Amino acid sequence: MSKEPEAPPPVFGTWARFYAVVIANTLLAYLLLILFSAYAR
Amino acid sequence: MLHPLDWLVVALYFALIVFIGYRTGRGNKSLEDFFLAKRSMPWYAIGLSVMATQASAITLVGTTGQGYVDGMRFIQIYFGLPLAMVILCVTLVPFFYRAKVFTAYEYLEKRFDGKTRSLTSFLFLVGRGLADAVVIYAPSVILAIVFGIDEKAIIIMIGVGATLYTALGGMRAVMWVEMWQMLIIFLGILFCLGSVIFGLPDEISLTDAIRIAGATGRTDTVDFNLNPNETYTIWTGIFGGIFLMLSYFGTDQSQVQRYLTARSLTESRLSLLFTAILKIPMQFIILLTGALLFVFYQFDKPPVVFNPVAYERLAEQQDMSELEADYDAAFESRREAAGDFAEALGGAGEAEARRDFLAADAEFNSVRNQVVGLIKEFDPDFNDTNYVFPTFVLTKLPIGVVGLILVAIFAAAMSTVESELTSLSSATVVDFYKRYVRTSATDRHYLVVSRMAILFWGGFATFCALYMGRLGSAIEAVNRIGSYFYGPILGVFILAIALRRANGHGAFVGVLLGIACVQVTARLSEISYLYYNLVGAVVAVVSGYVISLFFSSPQRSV
Repeated sequence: MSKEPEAPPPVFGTWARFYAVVIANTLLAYLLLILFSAYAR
Repeated sequence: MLHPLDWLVVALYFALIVFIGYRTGRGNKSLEDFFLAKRSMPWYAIGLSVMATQASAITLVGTTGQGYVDGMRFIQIYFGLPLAMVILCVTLVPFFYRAKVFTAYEYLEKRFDGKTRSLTSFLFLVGRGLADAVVIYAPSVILAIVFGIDEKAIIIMIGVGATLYTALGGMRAVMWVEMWQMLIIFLGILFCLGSVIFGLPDEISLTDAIRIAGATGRTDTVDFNLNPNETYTIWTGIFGGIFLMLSYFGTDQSQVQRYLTARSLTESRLSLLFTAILKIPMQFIILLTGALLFVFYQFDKPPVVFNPVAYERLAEQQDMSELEADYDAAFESRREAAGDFAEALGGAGEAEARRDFLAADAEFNSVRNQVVGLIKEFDPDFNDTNYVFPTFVLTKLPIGVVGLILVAIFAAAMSTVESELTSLSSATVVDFYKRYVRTSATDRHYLVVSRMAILFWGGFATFCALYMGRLGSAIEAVNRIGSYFYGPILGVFILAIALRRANGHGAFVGVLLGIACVQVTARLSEISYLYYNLVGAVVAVVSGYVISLFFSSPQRSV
């Protein structure tokens, strides 16, 4: 079956799942920055 | 002064971008070729181009300086960016892509009417037209002072260089060049970080360095303060930052034009999500470089002030020997205290060593502030932040690497300039010339006019940059006012896609009321500037919708 022209990369399946990964990645970045600050202080 | 080898690196860079521009920019036959690269670009090139457009030379030079002087809390202004990118992928990007428009504002005519399109495009031209001059001028002054290169020569190299290959190659050339420029910027940043880390004394490890910077608060990256007047807090960064980034990436033609070049909607979205994932780590590395530079200068004596011209001017007016002796003594005692603190880390004497180090740092700053105070007597706007990084590069990095970093600064400046030129030109030609002057002409005619528009805007920006010393405050004032437009313009796009009942009359008046409210907010309140776009967007949406109710429903075509 050919790939849909507006489909996300196959690993994510749907766009909603891709967006969720990006948002989770952002939240992880916030958390890592908080941990970094706490460690360095 | 620069070594001939560094100049060779700079010359190779210019040769490379001209070659890439020439190779990739041939065969423009229509406006779609010239402004949208035939809608054929892959996501990674667009993503890097989007990042290059946003990263100006001042971002590179100023952000490292910010990390040195103030620490890493600046990173919080990017906290809203990834979330804004996801919102754009769901909302505006599909609308723009399916409407097959050349400019963001063209979509507003399809949805509302011609006057709303013309007003928003005009506001973009006013806001961005002079910003280009600042993008060229700001790094030129710093590079001229630190590297001893003639300021006007730098302005002409950046302004004329970017204008010529943008006019010749169009969007495709610009985007492929920008992709390489962004890779050069990444390389430059990593070289700097590596140079600072390897420049630390042998007995100071990277973790020691982070703890030393952390003791002075320079590694604080998240502040939970709820005060909306504070810019660098997590709340302002997320809530204010989302609207700032939505406005910039969703309604500014210099960014919209980039993802309109994608060969599919998927590639458009991927390019923005690519930026969403990379932006915070990239800013972290730049700011960490600045914070570690602070540690580097604990053990390697920094100049009293980093702007050599300002210091020479002061030294000509008064005898500095006593203050310099105090400065040397304060540096020595701080160096010793920093070394003792690093040695005591994790041991019983850590708390005491930290106190001694902070006291020595305060004493050092007090001597330095005396000198800064004297400079401010004849230069009240004196700010040393932007000179820290270039001074380090010139005085501490090996020959050749200096050239590479200089090239990264040039690349950062030029990538922003060429993006502005393509967007200013596309808005001028598509939203005004083709709309009002010659509605029907040959592709060849529009191509010639587009190139002339690029030459005009490039010439205008270079001319303003050359005379910025005299026109400075006027240009800055117009630039500041221009930044007030983005929130209300975002409000119009929200009206367009979210509120079916909204019409052109409501949208038009909504923008104007939004701009007026942002002006009033800026004048009468202390609220962080990151919230201006939120205020402008909300006012434009609410007032635009209410006014729309007094007129008939629109006939939607998109």
